[in-house]
Amino acid sequence: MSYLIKFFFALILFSSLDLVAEEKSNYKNSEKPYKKSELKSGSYFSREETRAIELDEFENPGMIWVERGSELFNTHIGNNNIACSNCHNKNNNSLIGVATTYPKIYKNKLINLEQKINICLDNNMNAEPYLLESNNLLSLSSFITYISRGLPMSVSIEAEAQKYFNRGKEIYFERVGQMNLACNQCHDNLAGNYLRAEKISQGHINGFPSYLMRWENIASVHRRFQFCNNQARAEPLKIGHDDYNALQLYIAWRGNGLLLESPSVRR
Amino acid sequence: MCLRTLIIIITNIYFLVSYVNANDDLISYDIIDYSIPYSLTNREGDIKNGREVALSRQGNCLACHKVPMHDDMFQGNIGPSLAGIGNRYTIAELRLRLVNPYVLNPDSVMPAFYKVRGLKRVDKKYTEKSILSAQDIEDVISWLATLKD
Repeated sequence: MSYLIKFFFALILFSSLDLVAEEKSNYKNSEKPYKKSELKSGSYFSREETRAIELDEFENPGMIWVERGSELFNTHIGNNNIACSNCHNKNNNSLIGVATTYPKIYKNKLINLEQKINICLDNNMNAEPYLLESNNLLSLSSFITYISRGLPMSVSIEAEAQKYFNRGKEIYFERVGQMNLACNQCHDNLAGNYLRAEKISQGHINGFPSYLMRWENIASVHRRFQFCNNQARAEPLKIGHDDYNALQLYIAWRGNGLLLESPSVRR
Repeated sequence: MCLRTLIIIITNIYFLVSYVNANDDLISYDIIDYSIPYSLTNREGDIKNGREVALSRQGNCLACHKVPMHDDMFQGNIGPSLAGIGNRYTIAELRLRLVNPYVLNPDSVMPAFYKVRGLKRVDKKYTEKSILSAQDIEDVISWLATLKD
């Protein structure tokens, strides 16, 4: 009799464990702050003049980086004396759509597009990798993102990306700095409200690399994170930091489905 | 048994010391009935300075609140308007709202202007510093109390 009871208990225990496991894999869409139909790109919240500059390719200052990137893409770089376009062109290994999938797992580690470009430079082209946030690197990543313009963001949080996703989510909800602010407090709960002169956006990153008017320069997602941290009076992390990549993954996932719009123009 | 008492005594001393340290630069205060009835300083609030602190980048109230009688195009609307706030709250209630709004709402977006502990990853420039000084807080409160309409 007692064996039977034990057996039942074991059965209940196992089935409940199963339930927990199932819940874990189901957190996906129900936990997103915005449904797909509610997703709004940052340009929706920016001023009309700013939006007009972004949409006009002749006026959009971000296009300078795209053009420079396009030149670099076709230039022979490094000791192997090849250009990116030797391997990646319309017929072969096209990079169209690639930008929608970053950050992404590469050799068990989450990396962003800029880091992937550097890996390619180092491994395949035998070239010196660029400094993160340098003009050349951002030009290349702007160009590579630009050719995916209009395609939906679609990062994966499966398999090895999952632990980074969980970490990113943790960071997103963690209050930091003297201002004691977490990302979600503004970008999940207060989007559309005015913070001084600025409308708070939903905090998506489908427009990055983005031209920021306040710096008259193009900025990566990580550079923008640093700025957010500065505003909250928190110690910013280094560009390329694992935690920033994790955060980038969480935020990209939260906006999966939004169309890439880089180079966007923001205040 | 003896060891246990010793450990308890040591931890008690540790907490006592860290508590005293924590309040090294910040003036301690008592929260009574969701308010801080006693002034943080001995000096009376300076309304003119309070207005300056509140409307400048220092207090940065306009980031989130409207101050209708102030002539500035860009005023936030995250928090409630400050119009008539002097009628809605007493000085003691205002003091708690500035010093530590988390007592009233743990999820408050408004920061605690007089808090240095329990914050994560604070920029080195600001560690161990409260956003406003005790006197600035007294000044801002005395200005807020004048906003009657």
